[in-house]
Amino acid sequence: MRFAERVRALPRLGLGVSTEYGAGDAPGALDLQALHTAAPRCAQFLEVGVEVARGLDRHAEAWLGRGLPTTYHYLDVNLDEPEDFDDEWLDGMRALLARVRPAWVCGDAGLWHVGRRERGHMLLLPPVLTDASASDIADGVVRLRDAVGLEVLPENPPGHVFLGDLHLLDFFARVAERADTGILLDCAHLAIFQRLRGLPPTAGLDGFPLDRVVEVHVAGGSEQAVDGFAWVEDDHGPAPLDDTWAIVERVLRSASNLRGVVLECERNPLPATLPALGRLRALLDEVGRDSASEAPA
Amino acid sequence: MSHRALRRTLVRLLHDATLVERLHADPDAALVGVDVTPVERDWLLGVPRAAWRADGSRAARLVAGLAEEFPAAAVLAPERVETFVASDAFHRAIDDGTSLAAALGAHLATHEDALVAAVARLEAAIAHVRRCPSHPAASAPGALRLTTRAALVDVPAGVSTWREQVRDTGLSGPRPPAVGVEWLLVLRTDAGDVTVEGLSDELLTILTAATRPVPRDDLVALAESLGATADEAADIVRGLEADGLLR
Repeated sequence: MRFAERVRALPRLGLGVSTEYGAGDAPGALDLQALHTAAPRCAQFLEVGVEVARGLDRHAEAWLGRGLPTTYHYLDVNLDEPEDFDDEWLDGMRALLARVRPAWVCGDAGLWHVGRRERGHMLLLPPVLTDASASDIADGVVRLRDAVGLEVLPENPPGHVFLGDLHLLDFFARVAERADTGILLDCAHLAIFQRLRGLPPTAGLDGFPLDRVVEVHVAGGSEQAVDGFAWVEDDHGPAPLDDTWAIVERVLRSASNLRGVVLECERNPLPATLPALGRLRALLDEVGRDSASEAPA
Repeated sequence: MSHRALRRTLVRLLHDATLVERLHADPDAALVGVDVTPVERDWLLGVPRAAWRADGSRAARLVAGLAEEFPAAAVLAPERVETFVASDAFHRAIDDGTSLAAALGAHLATHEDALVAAVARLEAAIAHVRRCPSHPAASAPGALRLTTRAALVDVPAGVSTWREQVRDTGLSGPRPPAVGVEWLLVLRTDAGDVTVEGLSDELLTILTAATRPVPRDDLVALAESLGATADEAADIVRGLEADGLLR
């Protein structure tokens, strides 16, 4: 079945937030339950960031215990490395998916660990933006989708060094086409890339297949500089940059298959997150792409 | 060059500031052994130098995480830890896709002080067994071998106790006399903990013989040759199996 047909079966999750293992235990971290109680239309689902080796923390377990919707964000697979899909990891991932019961799987299509998947090897770097790299990542998307039986949405990773001859959006358009998949467009990561290339925030979006965008990420970032080199740190602060908002507004108005928007704000106190969540809520209501619902039977 | 190989070079440059300097001073020399096309070389040279060090704590974070598994060696040889990302061991591990903990252990184990080097070898063995498969494959029927969850390590006498003191206090403390050699069994338990125990000569002989698959009867005969009765020898081998040392 082609993506255009498969996507119709995905539920409209609306507006959600994300978490990673242990993030909720940090001082001043977002209280997921309190957010869901205080602003349920801003916490309609939880994106659970998971390393198979670590599993779920108590905050994710509590969310699951209430039977609330989720998505699963992997943190430990290099899609372009076939050897990374070993049986032990896949078995562990399937067990976690059975527990989380996410609407879909997503995650940065980058380098999550250098060499083997082992202690001390974790990082996150973007792919080399070449045609061959796009093909390898597309193969990985299909491989993972087949292995877990869920949609897999590759996400554009952050970075401050990008190599290759393609624009980030051209790269992910090729991935989407070759894997026949939807994608997760991280607007903050795209804003970081555009600034590094000296481009306007929305450059390239006109030619991008926005109907492939199933999920959108939004997050704050901080502007940094060292020895004349300026870049944006993807620190998941509570206030997205204007560049990011420009991308969000453009994408949400055109992404006809959008199913979910996540504000990545897991390490910020609830009051600090409400302005951005409120703006996203209003924007989703305005463009009419929310109406959270179950997938059609 | 494949994009994966280029990305490994990217990783090396992001962690080793000395490589960035060498890249700009003499690209051919810095990239020797790296199958990079002229276009790809230009991509690397086109990255602003400051961009490579934009995340100023990247290398320190990586090394700090790895050094947690070398708690005593890191106290005894902090300068070695700091120079790890510029070492051949680091760059080889990135290029080969092998364990960075093993690479740090190898780097520390080249310390000129033999006792410090021995501590590093012991902690590298601990890191190694920590990474072995949880469920090692069984040997062929009739054969046994030392489990991959175990390692045999020889160090100067007293090094194991010294390591524990350094690890627990964070201070180098009195050095052991290091007269003679002690053999140690490093074993990851079913619970995931790693234990370090001294080995008797007899047990060392049996376990050393089993570092490759060997017929069970040969191990029983070996135990007998070391002074056990036939029944005792069979019990010894069965006991090592029950303890998970032989599989």
